[in-house]
Formats: sequence, structure tokens, C-alpha cells
Amino acid sequence: MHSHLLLLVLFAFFVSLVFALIANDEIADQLRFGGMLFGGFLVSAIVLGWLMFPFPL
Amino acid sequence: MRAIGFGLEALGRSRVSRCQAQSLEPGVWSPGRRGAIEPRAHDFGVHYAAVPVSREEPKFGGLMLLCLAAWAVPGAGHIWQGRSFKGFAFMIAIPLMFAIGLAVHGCLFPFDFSDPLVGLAALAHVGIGLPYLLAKALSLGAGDVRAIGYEYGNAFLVVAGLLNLLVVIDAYDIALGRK
Repeated sequence: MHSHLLLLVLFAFFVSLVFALIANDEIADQLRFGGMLFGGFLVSAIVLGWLMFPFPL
Repeated sequence: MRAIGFGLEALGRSRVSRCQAQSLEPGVWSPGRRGAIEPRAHDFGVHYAAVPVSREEPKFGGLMLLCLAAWAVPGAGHIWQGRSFKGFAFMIAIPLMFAIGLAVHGCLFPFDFSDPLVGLAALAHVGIGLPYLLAKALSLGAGDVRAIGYEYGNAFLVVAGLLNLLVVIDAYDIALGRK
């Protein structure tokens, strides 16, 4: 498994799944909260990644 | 509610007419019982759900056993309490996360508190329970700093342990009737 993006997606998926299940009891609420969390993880990681791109290592 | 109820009963006994009864909302005028008014609890803003219901207090030993089971096998605490869907989801997701962490060459850190972050990471690893003990027994989690997935693997291992601790706390809350 050499893809950072795939690992990022997997990490976001598992964390979102567990938090959604803990925080809500209704399936619809779980899907909504989990989806928002998952999307938030991905979008924030990609945006922060591009923001850091101009800076040297 | 009692005062209002008695008041309406008194009104019923004094032969309240149909028009008067309808104008005396909240209350139900029953045509079968001439002049009687049967107040309903929700008409007066009283909700039976708000009345504390006596429930059996969980015993300390049972709670400890539940938490131990929930720690050792992720999701077991939820399955024990009849929340099978959540329990099986935790049982699959958290160990799978731990396994991915090991597969991408994450490191199971030693209990070395001279470097606090290493010691705390080791404590977080233990949070996952039996999978940690199994991985240690099989000498997995040596970690390879040169591997591409090393840092991600560490994140997976630490977060899997911490998530399981959250799941244990959730099972404890359910047992106490807080959820």
C-alpha cells in the first residue's frame, strides 16, 4: 500500500464511521454526521496539503 | 396536575353542560359519561416520559466485567447490551484499522516514558485490547522507518487504540442509562 491518498481516505473512513456510530443512534443521523466528517477530513487534508505546497520541506 | 384534575372532576359532578365542557379546554368531554370531564396529562403540559422511571442500578462488578469485555474485544460491550449493529461495526472497523497500521509497517512503541510521546503512544496502543496482545505475541509491529506508510501506520495504530477506549466509554454510558 504505497498511496498516501488511499491511506488518508481509509483513515478518514474508519474514524468517521466510529464517531458517527458513537454520536448518533438513528441511521439517517449517522449517515449525515459520518458523511460530513468524512468529507471534512478529505477536504481539509487536501486544502492544507495545497496550502503547504509552496513552502520548502 | 392533580389540583386541576380534581377541579375538573368537581366541575363534572356539578353537571357541566356540553358547551361549558368544550370551552373548558384542556379537557375531554365524554358523551358516554354525562357531565364528566376526563383530563389528559399532555393537555396540562405534563409528560409521563419526564417522570423518573425506576430502573435497576447496574452492579459495580457487572460494569467492570462489561468494560473489560468492551476493552478486550472491540464492540463486545455494545453486543452484550443488545446493540448488535454498532457492536459488529466496531468489531470489524477498529481491528481492521489496527491491522492496516501493522500492514503498512507502523510501530508498536515500547513503554519508554523517557520520551513521553513514545510512552503515551504505547498506552494508546494498549487501548485496543486483545489485538494488541496478539500482535505482541506474534512479534508484529516492529516498524520500519524507511517504509512509505510508517507515519500513517503509527497514526492508524494509535487512533485505533484511542477509538476503542471511546467505544468502551460509550458502552459504559449505555450501561448506566445515560444514552
